[in-house]
Amino acid sequence: MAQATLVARVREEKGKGAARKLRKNDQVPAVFYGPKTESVMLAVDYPELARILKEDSGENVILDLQIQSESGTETRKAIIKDLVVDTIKDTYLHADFYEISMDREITFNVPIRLLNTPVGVTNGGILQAIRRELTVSCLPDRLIDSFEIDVSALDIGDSLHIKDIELPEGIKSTEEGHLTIAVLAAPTVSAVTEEEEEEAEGEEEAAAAEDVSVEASEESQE
Amino acid sequence: MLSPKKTKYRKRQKGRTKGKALRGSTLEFGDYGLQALECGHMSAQQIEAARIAVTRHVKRGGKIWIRVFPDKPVGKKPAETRMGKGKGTPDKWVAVIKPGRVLYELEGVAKSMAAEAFRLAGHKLPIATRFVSRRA
Repeated sequence: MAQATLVARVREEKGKGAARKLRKNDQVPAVFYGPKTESVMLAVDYPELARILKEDSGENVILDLQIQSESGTETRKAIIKDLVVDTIKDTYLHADFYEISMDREITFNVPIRLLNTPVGVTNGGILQAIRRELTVSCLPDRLIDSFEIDVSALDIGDSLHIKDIELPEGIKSTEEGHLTIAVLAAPTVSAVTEEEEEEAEGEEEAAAAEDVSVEASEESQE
Repeated sequence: MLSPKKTKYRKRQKGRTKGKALRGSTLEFGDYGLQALECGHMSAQQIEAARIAVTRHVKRGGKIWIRVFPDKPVGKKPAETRMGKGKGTPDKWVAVIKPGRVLYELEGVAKSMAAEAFRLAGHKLPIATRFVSRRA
């Protein structure tokens, strides 16, 4: 799993006004907490956070959080627990950092990536992803960026379940094995569309028939 | 067209729309979506017109999800009626839209086809929209 270093500064001021001031100064308000840690309010540099999140692993990254305070700098291991994003501007508004211990199991949502084009898709089917993430429990150093599953063998009517994923050693799923990840559905054409197509074809035929009759009448007049 | 099966009250207050969509603002089902950028109302007719625009362009293949439902009745007074004498009778059903709301989602088609389908669908709607896709 990807690792990165992020510098954070302890902040005293809180509330809407203070958060807005931080965002104006290219910073993001954040909070750091853990099972045995008191929560601390932080501010992190926006470009630095955006750079980390832009990487392939996205939010799935183990951070070495360098917390700067009046008493000095200390480094803590953390993951990004929550991220508030502005839906229109696609900017980060707030981040939650959760302290982890490298010798204690954590629960994490790992993305599922479906690789290759299934046989069923070439036959006209639709690959429908039901679940795009899998909740797993493992030690932080065992975590992987994503589960990559080859779906090239899937045909129309086939489905892929959690139990079909071969989990690496040390990682166990917290979800039940019978749950579906993806299905290859048969192509569906809505009744309305078919009716419309038939109507359109009917109109074209009628128009063509009219043209022929007009031409025939012109010829007879000549 | 979409409309509620039954309602507790026939008429509803007009209301004002402010803020952004807090829920329904991310892609949940498909790979591509059409996202609202403005506040407004989408009538059942407009929702249906945009859906037809997408399905006509996509033709076969692909699955579409409609993420909005018109659950608000909007009344209208008859023509050549003087003002007053109470609220007009229900005329149509609308969905209240806030910026950021994902209106439709699509899966099982190429990105270029989805973008074109949603461009066509966007022209049927009374609000500004944009094409969004899931991060690879």
